Amino acid sequence: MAEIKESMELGYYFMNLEDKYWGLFLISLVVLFFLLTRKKGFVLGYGMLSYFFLLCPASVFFLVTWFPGLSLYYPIRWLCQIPLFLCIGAVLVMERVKQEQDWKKTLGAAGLLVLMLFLSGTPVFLEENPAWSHDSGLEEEYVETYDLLLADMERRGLEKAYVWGPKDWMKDCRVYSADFYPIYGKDLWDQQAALGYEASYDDTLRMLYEFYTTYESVQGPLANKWQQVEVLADTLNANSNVACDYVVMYRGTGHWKERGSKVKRLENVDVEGTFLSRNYEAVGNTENYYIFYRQAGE
Amino acid sequence: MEILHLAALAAVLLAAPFLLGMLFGKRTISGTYIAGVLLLWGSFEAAAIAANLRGWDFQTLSRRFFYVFAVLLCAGMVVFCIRMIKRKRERRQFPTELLLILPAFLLVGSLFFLYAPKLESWYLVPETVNTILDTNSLHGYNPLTGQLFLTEKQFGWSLLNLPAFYGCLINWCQVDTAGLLFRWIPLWMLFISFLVYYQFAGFFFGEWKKGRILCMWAYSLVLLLGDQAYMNEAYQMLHYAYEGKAVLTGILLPYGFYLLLSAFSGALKNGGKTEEGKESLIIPRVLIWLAEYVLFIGSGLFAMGADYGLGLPITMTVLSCIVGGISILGKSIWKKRDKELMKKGGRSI
Repeated sequence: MAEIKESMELGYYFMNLEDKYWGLFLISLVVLFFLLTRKKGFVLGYGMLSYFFLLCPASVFFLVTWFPGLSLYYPIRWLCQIPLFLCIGAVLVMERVKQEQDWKKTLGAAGLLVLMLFLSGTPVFLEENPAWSHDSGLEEEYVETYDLLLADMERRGLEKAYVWGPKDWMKDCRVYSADFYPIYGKDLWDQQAALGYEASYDDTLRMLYEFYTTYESVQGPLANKWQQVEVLADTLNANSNVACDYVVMYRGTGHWKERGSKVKRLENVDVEGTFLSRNYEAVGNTENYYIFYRQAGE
Repeated sequence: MEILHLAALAAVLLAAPFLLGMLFGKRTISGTYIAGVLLLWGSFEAAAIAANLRGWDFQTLSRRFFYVFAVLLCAGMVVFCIRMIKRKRERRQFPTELLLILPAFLLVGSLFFLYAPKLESWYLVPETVNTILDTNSLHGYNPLTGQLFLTEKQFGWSLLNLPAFYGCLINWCQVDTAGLLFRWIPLWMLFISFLVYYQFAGFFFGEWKKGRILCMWAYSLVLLLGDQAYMNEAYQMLHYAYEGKAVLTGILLPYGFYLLLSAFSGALKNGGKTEEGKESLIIPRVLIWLAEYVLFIGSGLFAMGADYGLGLPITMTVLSCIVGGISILGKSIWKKRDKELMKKGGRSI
């Protein structure tokens, strides 16, 4: 909760001043004041003006200076409704220009408004739009491993499976199917993900998380990863109280190479042999992952 | 079979809110639809709160809410039939401008098919829906691990029932979670958002219908060419329209502004003009407004839980009261100037 509240403080407002649409929004409020006063009388016009004074950078700056303890708690920009007032402002300008009954001016104003919107924003359908980077969806190889797991579960007659694997793989597995029960969730490393409850994990799970994170990370010599693989397998064996049916491990060096690791000696690590020698069963593998099975509690 | 399931989903998402909106008296098509959506969300929230307090499981809630939904639909259908019989005598025209905003909606809507949001999760909605369906419990299990919560969930967050609503839709219409959340729900939310903007624009360009249509086109331009700043309203609507934040910022808050503008502009006074130019005969307009405002708050809770869902609408109301107060003060100071404006053709509110 503390992180959420923090992100809602006034600093957030100043951070957002970089947006060009924010500037257009403030301009549109001033335009709305002049045009609405003329069209609908003083109440709406002054409404827009006082709205502008409440939200403009200068007044927010003075509010913070005079009342140092003040924090507005909720993100201001959600209350601003930028697209809404931009659209109303643009159409009111068009209406005003149209009254001059000169089609060239009307066309020119329309073109200018579209150009302003175009130059200020980033077209959503362009690849370089950073917004798309969030929309990459589930990794194809994750989906491949989930399908392998589901097929194996069906073969064994399992309705649900406790799974352990890479952090991101664990994070996404329940988006794909509710039959997967990761031994720990995103709320272990990201408290903000725990919406309205206190995430509680015992020390064993925290230790398993730490070990896997060390194994995944590019920090430290890559040649040591074979030791870490053994540590992971042994720790899981030693803690039979942790229910875990399936373990997903990295195969080859792809994961580390992609993240810029320079040492390339991981090919020698016998991940498969390490797990098979500890009574695990190989379920299958994809280009970058091995999947092993052992009945929970065995 | 899949077509039948999609037809059922279309009936629940498109036809049902229209019939529910009939209970709010005579309105424009967009006004009727939005009021119906608010009634759908608000009544579901009430049912889900009851389920929380009484300890019902998800299937019980789904079944019982279906009965409530059916009763409300029947009432809406009766009102609709009565109105259709009267309408034959009145001979009203279909508002063709609604057809003109359709291309603007389709322009943005087609994006969901060209660049359909892929299977992913940002704020746990898909996981929560999957968990609710799998465990048959509303808030008892951790959506991230599927394990029973060891500590009790805060009451404020247990008011967030949007995922349970999606669960009900999946239950009733037998559609898959990914298809519903990543394709159909974003389109539906975008559609409602267009109608809300259309309604809001009507306040400013009531007599100038082309203005409303232009405003819709401007909105689709803002969505397509927009700033797309991280987590702004347009960003939410394009990328995470199935999440509560998008519902709150893209639909509920603009509609809340519309409701407050109606209150401040005096449109609720007796003798004031309704959207259709006629007085509501049976229930006073203020009561209908109040009911809608309560549903708006309820829908906020439904979409975001207590922290944001209640906090933002209340902050918005306080902000509007401050702005409205300053404006009315301005009007009293400049009363003379206002009268002059009125003589020149401006309309004082």
